[in-house]
Amino acid sequence: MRVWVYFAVFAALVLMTVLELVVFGMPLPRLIIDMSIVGLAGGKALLIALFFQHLAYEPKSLSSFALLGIGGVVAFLILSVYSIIGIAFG
Amino acid sequence: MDSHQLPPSYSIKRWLLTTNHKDVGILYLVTSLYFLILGGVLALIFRLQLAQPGLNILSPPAFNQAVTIHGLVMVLFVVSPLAFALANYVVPLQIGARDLAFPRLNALSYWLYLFGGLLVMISFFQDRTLDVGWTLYQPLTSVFSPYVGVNTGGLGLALLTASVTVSTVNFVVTIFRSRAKGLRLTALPMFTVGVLLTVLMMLYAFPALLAGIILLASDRILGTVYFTSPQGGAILWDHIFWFFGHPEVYIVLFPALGVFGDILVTFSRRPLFARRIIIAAMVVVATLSFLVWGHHMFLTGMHPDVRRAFTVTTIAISLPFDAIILSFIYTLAKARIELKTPMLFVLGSIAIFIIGGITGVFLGSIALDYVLRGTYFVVAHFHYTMAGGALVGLIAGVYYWYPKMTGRMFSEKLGRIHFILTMIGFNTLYFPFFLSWEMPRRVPIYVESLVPLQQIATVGGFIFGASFLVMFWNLLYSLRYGEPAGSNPWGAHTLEWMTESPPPPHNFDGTPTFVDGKLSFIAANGAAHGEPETHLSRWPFMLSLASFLALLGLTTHLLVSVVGVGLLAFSVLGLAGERFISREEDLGERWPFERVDRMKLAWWTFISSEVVLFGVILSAYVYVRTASSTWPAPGTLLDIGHGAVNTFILLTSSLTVVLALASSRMGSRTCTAGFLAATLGLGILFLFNKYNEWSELFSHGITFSSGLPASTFFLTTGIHGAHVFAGLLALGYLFARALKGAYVGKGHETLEYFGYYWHFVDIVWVFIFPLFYLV
Amino acid sequence: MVATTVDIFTSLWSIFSTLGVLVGVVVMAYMVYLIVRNRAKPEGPEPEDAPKPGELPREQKGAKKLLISVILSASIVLTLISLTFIALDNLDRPPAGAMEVKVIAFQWGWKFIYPNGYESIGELRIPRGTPVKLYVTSQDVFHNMGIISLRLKVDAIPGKTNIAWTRVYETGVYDIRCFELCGDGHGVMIGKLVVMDPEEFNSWYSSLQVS
Repeated sequence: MRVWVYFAVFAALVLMTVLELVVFGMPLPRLIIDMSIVGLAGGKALLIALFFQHLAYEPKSLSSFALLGIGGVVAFLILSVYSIIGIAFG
Repeated sequence: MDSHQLPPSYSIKRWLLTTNHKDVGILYLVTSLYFLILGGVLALIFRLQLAQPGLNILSPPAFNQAVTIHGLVMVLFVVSPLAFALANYVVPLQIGARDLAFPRLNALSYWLYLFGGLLVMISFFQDRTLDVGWTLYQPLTSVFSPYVGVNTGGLGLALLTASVTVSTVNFVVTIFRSRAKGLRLTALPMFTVGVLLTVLMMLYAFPALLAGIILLASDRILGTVYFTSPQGGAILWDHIFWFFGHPEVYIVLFPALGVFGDILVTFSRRPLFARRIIIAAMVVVATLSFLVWGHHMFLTGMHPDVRRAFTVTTIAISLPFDAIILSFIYTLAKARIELKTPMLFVLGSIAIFIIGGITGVFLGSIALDYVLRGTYFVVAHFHYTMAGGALVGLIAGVYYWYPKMTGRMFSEKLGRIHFILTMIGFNTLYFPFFLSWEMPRRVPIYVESLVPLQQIATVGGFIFGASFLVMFWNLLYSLRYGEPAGSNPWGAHTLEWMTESPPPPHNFDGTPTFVDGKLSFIAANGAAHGEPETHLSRWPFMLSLASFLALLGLTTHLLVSVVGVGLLAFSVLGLAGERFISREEDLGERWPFERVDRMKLAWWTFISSEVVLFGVILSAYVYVRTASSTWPAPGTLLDIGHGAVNTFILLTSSLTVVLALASSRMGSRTCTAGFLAATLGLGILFLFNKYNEWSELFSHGITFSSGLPASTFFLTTGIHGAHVFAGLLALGYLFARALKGAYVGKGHETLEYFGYYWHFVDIVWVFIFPLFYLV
Repeated sequence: MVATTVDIFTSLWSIFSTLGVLVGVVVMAYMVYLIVRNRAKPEGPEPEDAPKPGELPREQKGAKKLLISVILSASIVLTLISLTFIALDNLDRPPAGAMEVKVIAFQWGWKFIYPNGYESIGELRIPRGTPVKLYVTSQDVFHNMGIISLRLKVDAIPGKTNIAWTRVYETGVYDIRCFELCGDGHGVMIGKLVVMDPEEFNSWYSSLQVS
């Protein structure tokens, strides 16, 4: 594991965070801004997992448990939020 | 004390300190049967109440407490732990391991379970224990049941989820890493297959429960408004609880399915019918189990698309079950069926489960569920599955492995009497429930026309209860006077029967292997193994006792908590510093984790449970935002500056952690300690910044209870901050050791493992920052 | 007469229970038959493929037999599910011209608000033969409003309004009960639905003094 990779990843993370803040201030439709920001966050998470947690260098099977967990959470998020779309509370 | 030798079985020290999987299995067995008596007696009391409408044996609050604790205890403290009693004892034997991968963690699971149960029992003696139904519906639990005992009981459940998480990690690593050579995953005995799928479901289901309990506790104690405001409220809880609750049904059931598989083969003298299809069907059920929870909420008025989707998944899950049960039945064709006690219980349990399964299809139909919801039909259905399928199935397992555990045969005659009483009692108790389908659950008052059915049920309840006395007598009497069992009294083919009964502490003389497709033992080479393995540790007990005190103090006297926290710190250090020898099997089948050592696998399994914990907490945030018609624009409630600064701090701290790791690999003690110190500093800075941010909010009068935007922010960042804090404590320990030269040259894996945790906490923040501050 | 909630439920219930009992009896009879026929006799030999100690597990081949069985049960289940969706469609579509009543559940009772603003607690009066549409909510905790003899049930959730409907062709008094544990008074949270002769109802309804 070369140390420069760590610095490169760190630079990318900082850059992407700055990018999040830049996108936040841009005169774009709300939806596009939100999607890009969350997309950037996903990218940052992936970089950390692959290079700081070294999943890029591990057997793929090691990532499987976390991926299954993410799958479960995504199912939970989509179905629970979808279930109340268009419903008024209060 | 020589910690390599187990004290004799009459010594109390042995049972407090043991880490051997067979001892822990016995502890689980005895404790779960004790809780069975507790839950059963509660049930008999309210069955008496129900013998006549208007009886006053239990006051309405007492009635609610009795049904609630009956449900919680039976599901969480009886059936699952009974399954884990068998799993603890049998799984390592079935896969040819000497013990579980982490013996001390195994003892820890047990003690956390016991102390969790103690908290629940203590809550009885406070003002009121949980009285809100085992499903803890909202907002009844969050505000309308303001009793201290409800908090204590809830904390007991939290301790139980900790126990479950620890044992999940342990079993996952053990089954993947400690199998005898040649024992591929598909060649595992059915019981181990059942347990493996069970722990995988637990891994993702229980963190959801923990998330729910955290939100609930925060509502009750700190005053957040997750469940008191309609935008979260009843429906958010339903989603979280049943996302845990439906998989939990299969978590309870799957070990019993495994028991069915093993016993059927042994007593029908035939291989299992379509074994691989059964396993595939079980994998399908385990996966689908996370996609069906909505059928518990059909009447809450959810979006029609979602309701339709849940109907389809719910009905679809019955098909793999068809395949499983029919395969079990087809196994009996051309068989030579020996109707011994374990087999009788399996066949009876399958018959009962068929009724439970068919009535489950009724409840999957929304149109019928519109009427059956909340009635005795539901009660009948889940007792036919969970009591008849799971509990009675596990009783079959207790009889089956009793000779292995004790070296003695039980009385076959008493076993048969128990079986007959069980069948009569069970059906007399629960079948009238189907016929009482017009009666609401959990009410002490009902219409006159149902009196005969309810009285029959009460009589059945006492027969069912008495049947267990026969079992207890049989098991105790035979312990002393039973015929010697020999190693393989049933003529079974699986590995646990290929050693003495009870097995020696190291399980097998020699290392079992299936390399040639058939069992052989490689002679043990004692000298090469070096020091004998350790089987005793005082820390699991101490750590659990400490957690128990820390939580108990929260609802009694804070001084107790202070003692608890102190003892906790002492025990964690004790555990970390203890010299405990537990070697991995030299020859093991490890697919698909051949190149992953067991600590690494354990850490990733644990992190996966954390993924679900934070995933559910963040999903709850997205959910309440979707449900709310207004939400403060970014930058109005929260200062983006604080969030951005903290993002940079945490990202930098992740860099310093990997640099510490790189330094330790390169052999620089100074750099290792230096980068760890930098991380420590950054973490403290993060928390300091967080503290400032919170104080600013408080000074503007924004508190936990200032609406959902504030509640979700404080709770989510609070739980994240607690994780950072825990990380800092670990960092302090690592730093102190690094100063003395640890991790340099060897042992740098520890820093890698710590990194997994720290980077994960960083990843969570990477999502919290945009979701709370920018979007 | 137009279908009522009772008719919809009863027809579906009878199909489910007929098929359910049939499947249950067939499967269990087959199981008992196998057990009785194949129980071990002392002189009986071991099956040829009996598992031997220390062996890896084998399996009986039977994918085809299993496939047929599962296809069979899949077809039953698919029939049931389509019937369910048809019934659901009817349940979700209240008939036109319904009288609309707001129901507010509370610990521990029921409050009804009629279209003219009249409020009553514990008793809901409706005319025979007219469809009634209920807008159900709760002012405190999660309740469930059930009139079991009319096969009607709807969750009463604070902050959310759920809709149910019914139409009753016989005058009489029906119990309204709570079907979700809601605290100490859950068991006594009982209300009455009074179905009246339309003329009687009209004279009562028009005599109401609404403030």
